[in-house]
Amino acid sequence: MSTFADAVTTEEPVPFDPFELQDTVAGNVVDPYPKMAELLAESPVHVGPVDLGAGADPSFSDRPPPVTVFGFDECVAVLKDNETYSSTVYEGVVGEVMGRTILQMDEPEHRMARALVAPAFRSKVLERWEAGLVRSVVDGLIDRFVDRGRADLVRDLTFNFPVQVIARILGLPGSDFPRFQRWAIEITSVATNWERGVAASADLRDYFANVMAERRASPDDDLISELVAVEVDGERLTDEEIYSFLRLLLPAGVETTYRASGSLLYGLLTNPDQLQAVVEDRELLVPAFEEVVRWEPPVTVILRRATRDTELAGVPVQAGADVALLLGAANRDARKYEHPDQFDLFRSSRQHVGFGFGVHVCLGMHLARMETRVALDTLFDRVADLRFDPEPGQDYHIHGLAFRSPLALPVAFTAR
Amino acid sequence: MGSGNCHFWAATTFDLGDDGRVVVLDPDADDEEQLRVAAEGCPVGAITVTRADPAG
Repeated sequence: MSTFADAVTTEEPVPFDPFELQDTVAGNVVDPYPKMAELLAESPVHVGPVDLGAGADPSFSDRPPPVTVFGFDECVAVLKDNETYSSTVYEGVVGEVMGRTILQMDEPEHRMARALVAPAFRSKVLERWEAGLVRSVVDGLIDRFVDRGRADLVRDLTFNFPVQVIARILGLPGSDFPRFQRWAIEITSVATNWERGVAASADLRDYFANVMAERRASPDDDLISELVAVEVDGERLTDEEIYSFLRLLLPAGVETTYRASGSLLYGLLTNPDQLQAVVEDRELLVPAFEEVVRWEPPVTVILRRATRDTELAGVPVQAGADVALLLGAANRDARKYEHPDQFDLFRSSRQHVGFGFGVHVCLGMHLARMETRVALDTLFDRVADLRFDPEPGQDYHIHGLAFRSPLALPVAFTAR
Repeated sequence: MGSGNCHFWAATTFDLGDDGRVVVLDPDADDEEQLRVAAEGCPVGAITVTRADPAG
């Protein structure tokens, strides 16, 4: 059993080209927001396929017409009414790869299942990972590039720290990190390579089965030890439920945080006055992170399926229709936000649906907040005069449709 | 449901009990802006903020 004081600086990151993943998984769309705003202005809810720049999806022809929700209030209304709008829509692709998880459950099963895993993700419980774990992971990564005075913060930092943080929270030994990161990439990019993703899912199951057996024999201060021991009202998690939940942590806990932290750095680097303010007052990292989850949510769309014929903003929704909630569009709803397209950490309303809303609201939001805050706080302690420094012609903008984040963050700085 | 968002935004007013239910520690502890953000951020809409009668 490793301790969290393990050095992580000895492992090289798995070679990986974010460009490759972005073009296929995320959709090579630079800015879908003008089109979203145009459609939202027409109506907050649309029936039938919509084209946001990647072509309309024709696969729904034999099903009730899909519904796309652009408006903030309308997204909130759907997410509050989880009887009419079911999460079972995730039973398909996601359920097949990850196994049965809280993502696809409706009430009352969801409430019971979530209650078993929720205590481990409360903000007070997470505090114990902050200094020794997250900060040491980030410091280890910064050590590798700080003397160069230049870096690609996607490749050198944001892509690597969330997977290492999760691995350490799970209590995995440092020597397992490279293969864990490879499985994380493979299971997360299952849409581009189905067989490889399914194989990674099976490998992860076998791997976690061994770790769980070890933790049952000698419990430690880690999430897997907690999950094998947890009991609420006499209910316990089955092994299969634990495997599924742990697998879900990879796309849910690793990829989203990598994307959000990259977009936050992008938002700050493109707004040097706000970057300066945050560097001088680190408390501002809290509203800055909320603002990036509003402005550029890493997951721009989530799904529900209508369980009955209903109506939303006057638009008919048929039973069985897939309902796509464009969180990205809702977060820039001009009826709710002033200058919605600007990254502004000082804006007055901090409400957003970037973490979703209602009973399925992101379980890991406090972990994402803490990790990203500590990562940027640590970075700003180590480097000064952080600024973009791209190669001629290098594209470092935020890309993607369903998932968005910068392709690269080429920067120059002075080591402190 | 115990998301803990209210505690995140107004930590001296709200806390979560061991059962995941919210506890109001001190309704006057945080400023109005923090309370407003905490109420807006509750994913089940469980928080309503009302102003006490200033004369009361």
